[in-house]
Amino acid sequence: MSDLAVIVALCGAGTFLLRLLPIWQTRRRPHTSATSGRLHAFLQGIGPAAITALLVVSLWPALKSSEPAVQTMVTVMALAVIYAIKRWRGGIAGPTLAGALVYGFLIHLLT
Amino acid sequence: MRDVAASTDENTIHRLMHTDPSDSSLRWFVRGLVTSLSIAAGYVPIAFSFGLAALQAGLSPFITILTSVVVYAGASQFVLIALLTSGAGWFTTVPTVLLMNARHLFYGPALLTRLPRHGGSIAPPLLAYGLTDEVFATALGKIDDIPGASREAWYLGLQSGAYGSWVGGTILGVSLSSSFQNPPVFVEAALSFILPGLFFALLLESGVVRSARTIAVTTLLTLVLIIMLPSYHALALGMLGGAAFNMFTARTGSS
Repeated sequence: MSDLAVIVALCGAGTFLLRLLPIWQTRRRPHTSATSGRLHAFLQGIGPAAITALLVVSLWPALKSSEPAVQTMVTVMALAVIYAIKRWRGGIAGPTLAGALVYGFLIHLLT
Repeated sequence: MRDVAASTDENTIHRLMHTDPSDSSLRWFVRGLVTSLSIAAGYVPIAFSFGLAALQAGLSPFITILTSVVVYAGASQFVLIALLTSGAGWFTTVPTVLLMNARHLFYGPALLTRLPRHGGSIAPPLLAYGLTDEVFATALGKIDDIPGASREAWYLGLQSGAYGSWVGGTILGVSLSSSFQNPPVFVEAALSFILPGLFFALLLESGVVRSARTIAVTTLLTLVLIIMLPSYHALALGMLGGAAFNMFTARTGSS
């Protein structure tokens, strides 16, 4: 196996262990009611916090681009389209694709 | 009358003999696969871009596809190919990639709070292998709508579809690299918004009102951090800060 393949394999194994070890640990470790309460509240918060942080980080490159005002306006409009379509039809994929199409169209039009 | 009763008994016997519990698991697995299409919409273009970028950087098709198969962690894969092609060895590359992916430490325990207690039936390695940002976010956003006993089958379907689309997108990128050197502005811009759009839709799905304070604190914290730190550090610290805020406000009952 080449050196590159070994490095990739090590990165893969390490990433897998990052995901696996906490699961093993959680299934084995007994919880006290106090520990469970605090830990449960923390883990309940991970979901919305992770999605929010992912959203902010994924939008950041556009917001700090060479035309931030245009990018911000287009981003807000695309997010508004996602909100509107989700309120109207529900689902995830449909609103996401609609928002992406609006974003692409407006960027093409305005830049 | 006797014919109707006999027919009813025969139908009941037939149903009992041919009802297979695994049919329900298979059905929910397929539903998980269908749900993964929303992730695939984002994954395929990004994995395609990864395949293109890796080849253009000088990596072989084998190494490119191997990276998606065994690492399977979006942003860190792009950093990985940058490090490999710059001549960085394992001593630099491996810790950098693991540091970028450190936030995954928290996904498994959070996911377990939504799955059946006492272990369930999925082996931990299967639960863990496909636990990416997008799979985690989609699972947390939608799993409460799934009956408890079917959540594992659904989650396996979600994971499988997402993983298949990531690896498939990479293979497409490697195979078609020569045909996609200069995509139209409209296409490139639309593809770049798929993931942010997906995260926003998932945030709406998970309930903004219910977690309004946590979302607000996480947004502000992540914005401050991303000005000062690399994005993967800002992501991990912003997420942890928001979860810690939720822990403290939940304890005081002031959420």
